[in-house]
Amino acid sequence: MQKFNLDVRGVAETLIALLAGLLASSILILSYGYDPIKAFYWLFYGGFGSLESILDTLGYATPLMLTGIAFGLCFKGGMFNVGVEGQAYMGAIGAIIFGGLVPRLLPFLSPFSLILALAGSMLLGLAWALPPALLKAYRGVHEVISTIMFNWIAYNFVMFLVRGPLVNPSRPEMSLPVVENARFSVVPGSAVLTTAILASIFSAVLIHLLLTLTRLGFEIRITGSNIDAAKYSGINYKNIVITSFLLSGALSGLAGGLVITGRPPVWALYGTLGNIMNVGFDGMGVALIGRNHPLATILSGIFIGGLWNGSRLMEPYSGVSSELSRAIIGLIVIALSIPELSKRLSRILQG
Amino acid sequence: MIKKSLVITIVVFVAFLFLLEYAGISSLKIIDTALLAMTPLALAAIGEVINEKAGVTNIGLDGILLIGATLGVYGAELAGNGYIGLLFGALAGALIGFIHGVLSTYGRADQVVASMGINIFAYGFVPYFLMAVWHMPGIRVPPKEVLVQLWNVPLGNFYFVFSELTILALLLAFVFNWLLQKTALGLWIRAAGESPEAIDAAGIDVHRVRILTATIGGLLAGLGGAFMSLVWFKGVVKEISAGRGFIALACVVASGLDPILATGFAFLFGFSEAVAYTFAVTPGIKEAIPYYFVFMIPYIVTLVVVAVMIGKRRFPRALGVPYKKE
Amino acid sequence: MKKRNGIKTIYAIIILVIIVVAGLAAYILTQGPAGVTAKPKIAVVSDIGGRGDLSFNDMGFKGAEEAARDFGWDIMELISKTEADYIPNLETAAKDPNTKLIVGVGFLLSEALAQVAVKYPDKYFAGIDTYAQDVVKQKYPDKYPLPNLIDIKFEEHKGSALVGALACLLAVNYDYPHVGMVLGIEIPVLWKFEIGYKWGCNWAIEWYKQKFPDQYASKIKNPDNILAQPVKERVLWTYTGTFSDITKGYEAAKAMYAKKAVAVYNVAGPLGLGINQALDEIAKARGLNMGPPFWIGVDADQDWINPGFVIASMMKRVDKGVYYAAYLVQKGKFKDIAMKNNGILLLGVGTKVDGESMEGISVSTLNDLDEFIKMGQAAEQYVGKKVLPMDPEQIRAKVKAMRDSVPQWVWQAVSELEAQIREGKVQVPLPQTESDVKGWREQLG
Repeated sequence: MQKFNLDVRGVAETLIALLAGLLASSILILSYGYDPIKAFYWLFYGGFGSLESILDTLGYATPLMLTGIAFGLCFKGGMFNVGVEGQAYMGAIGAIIFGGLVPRLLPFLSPFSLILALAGSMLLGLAWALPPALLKAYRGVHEVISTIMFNWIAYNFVMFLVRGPLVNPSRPEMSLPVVENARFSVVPGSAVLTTAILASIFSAVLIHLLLTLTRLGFEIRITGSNIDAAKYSGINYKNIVITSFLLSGALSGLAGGLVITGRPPVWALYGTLGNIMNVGFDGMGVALIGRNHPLATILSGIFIGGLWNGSRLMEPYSGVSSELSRAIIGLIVIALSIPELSKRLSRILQG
Repeated sequence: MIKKSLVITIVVFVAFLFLLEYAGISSLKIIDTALLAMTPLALAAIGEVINEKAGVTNIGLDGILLIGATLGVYGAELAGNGYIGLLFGALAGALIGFIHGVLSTYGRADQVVASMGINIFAYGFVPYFLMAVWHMPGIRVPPKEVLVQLWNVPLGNFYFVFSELTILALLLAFVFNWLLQKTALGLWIRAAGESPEAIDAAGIDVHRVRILTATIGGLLAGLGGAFMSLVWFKGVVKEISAGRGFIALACVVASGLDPILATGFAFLFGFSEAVAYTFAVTPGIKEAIPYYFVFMIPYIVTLVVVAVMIGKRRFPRALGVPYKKE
Repeated sequence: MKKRNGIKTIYAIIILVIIVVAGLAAYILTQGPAGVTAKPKIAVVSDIGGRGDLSFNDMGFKGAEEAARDFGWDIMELISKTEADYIPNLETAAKDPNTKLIVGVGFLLSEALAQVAVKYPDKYFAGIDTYAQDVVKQKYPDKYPLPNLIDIKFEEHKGSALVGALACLLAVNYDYPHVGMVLGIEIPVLWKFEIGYKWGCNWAIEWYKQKFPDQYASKIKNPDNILAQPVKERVLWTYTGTFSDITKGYEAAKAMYAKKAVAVYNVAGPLGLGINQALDEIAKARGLNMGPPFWIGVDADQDWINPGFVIASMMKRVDKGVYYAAYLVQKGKFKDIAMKNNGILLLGVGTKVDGESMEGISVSTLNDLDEFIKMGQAAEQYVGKKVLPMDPEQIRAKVKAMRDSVPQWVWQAVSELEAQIREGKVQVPLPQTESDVKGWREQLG
């Protein structure tokens, strides 16, 4: 009964925050002389108004859910893994190496390409999360610094790989694509969605179970809410730090891998890193809206995906610049940060 | 103990400068580039140091840089004067800082979430603003009259470029350090971060202190942004901050909330970035190392310095925790 | 008591919200798209980053605007935020019953463009810098070439050769040891600029050796002159890995100017602002009113941004390409032209299509400057704010004075090269693969 009440309040608060964000953005839109109703109409129609757009929205949401969960996991443990971005880049490279290069060099492994690609992406993402984790655990270097630096190092390193050793000789602006066997099937009716979304949802459920049912999950959550209590109860802080980061890195890596193996039409990484750029940062926004809860992150991922998808129709049909969808999300996140918004509102409403 | 590492740092730095000269690279040019690159980083970092000392986390620096740059240009064109533009950008940043401060105190908001929201909002708002106001998507080059000039000081064969804002940033580093250590206000700020209950009992309003620091933090970051568009690059593009707000944040965290050290890190970053890009252009080095690795230099250098020299730093006990009056 | 009221209110709010949302959703889903106007449209799908680069994407849009104005069409703009947006954007444009022409700007859209063009054979598609017909050949060989699709390509390497020649002759004339080039992200399109520029520089030096052998012999003894530098060190160049971080463009250009590059070629879009800043510092320090040193603009005519210091711009008339595609649709000639040329339009120096001159690449002239000044003035009227950095007459005067201050023989050389390219007497290299580029870098630096 208690738990049910808590959940309901959380949902209410999120919905209220959404409304607050939309309201604030309407004011913004109005102040420049555009019609907010028309703008939101097209925004939501574009994101959720037809079967095709819903499918596309799910396609957009696929990697966002995972980076969101990755960030949320560390956040539950009291750490800011700003490095989800760089770990996703490395994950994408992992998918290309293990799902593109290896099956070509060793054809007998071809039937396992997809598994290899996904495992490879998780491995590289994990490996990239290791140095910041070690620096924090043993040297006390705050993860914010190390992960930001590692993001930039990853950016340059991945660009080097895509241009150099992993380049596609016949299409030098891209990396090698992953082989046919390493591609998720495209869902008919959509240009973006593949069965990769199942991998995302599966991972989300897995992490939720980890956090709620296992001892490790419990320890992570304790460390996040009260470090001193955690240490006094015998939890090995260093281990938790490293484990959380590694898990988070693996998830981000998987997200990067899903962008490669789960998105038509190129199944490769562009030389400009365009298809993987911001997957991490947007995931952070998704996590925050989903209050770092894995299952809620699925929903917020779909919501954000819908906003991205719908914003393309906002510009041509209502004149409002599509980047405004970002501003709207920002306002929603800010509104969400106020924990007792609903309580205060209800107090106001009660007079 | 600090003195010793300071001496070592200076010696290593000067030695490196000689090395550059020997390689045919003008070290003075690198230094003035480094100072320019340092300015927005340092301004934002110093502001955030004060903020975090009082217990408020604002990771929205990147967004405030961006908004400061954009609204700075807007204000400059409105008033026809670059300095007013700088003020405008700073005030825009101050407003955002103020709102964040209020949300963090009276709103008991989750500060990380709220400031992340500021970033996301800014990334969307700025291109929208550029389009809505100037009908120019993504870029605005203001007329020359409204810009603030950089100073060009000829020094023999060279000329040294810098701005009043650079000097301001350096001054502020020392002023704020003095403020924090030696004044009553500084004491309140530090107490607000360490043990808010104590000063509450002493009759000082914790919320007011935090709102003040949040506003100052936003103001400085906004000024840093306006510097980039009005003084340095004479124009604003929708991605002008390019993640530098996070670099400033890294400087803040790396320095352990010391304004002078934070400025030092900002300089270190600007310096290594300038060196890296000069290396990338120098014919000899090109063949040896692919430029991607050269570009990693500023990030690796910063990380190494932090890991080796700084290590663990203590942060205020009440950082990020909304204060509840009993 | 208070707590129960609080919870009740929360429930009430939730229920209310859900009802409202559900109602809206039902309304939306049953209505279908509304607000679609009846005028024919041209849709422009831009690449990631969209407009505001003062060059490439902006030029594409300029062409669309002019076509819309001349033919009475509307414009529909779709900006791609990630590559996942390409197909949805193109399809959104194609599904709109009023769009007649859909333009995809940027070579990264090639796959998407091919896929959507195959799916909507009744709509016309044009790509800028794309190789969509190649994709069609690979993926849908029985449909190749698609009659409703034209790839509009440009010969940037030829234009870059022209400005490369210009830059190096400036170095020869003013006794500077280097020329410079700042590039963005290393993608194959930029190779054309990179190698073309270096090749043009080399051509110019050979030309000078033949034309002015005495001056050549004396200048080569001057260690500060480009003639005295080893071939591979003539051009200072670097990719910056970004099309948006101006600081990096600034730092790279500053290093080049510090090494006494006489002109820096901007191949990085908005980073031109950084290059300009680096140049401006030198100008202020030495009290210069015009170059040397200079920078070279790209894609659009950028001479007006800093009059007197932008020696010329390598214009890539993306706007003309887009306009031409629209023109073909309007005149019903699209399919003919597409089939005649295997679906590819290659616009370059001296290009003729169907008997009409369709020059896509040129070095900016004073006439081009006028055209862009007029554009700036129109924009000023529309927005009510200043766009041009100074009075149009002043701009014209400064640019003209700058050009006049450069000796005539330099301009003559550039014209000569242009003529040779036009007549096919010289082949500017067109690097297609990594090994091509490596080979040329071995030779030219």
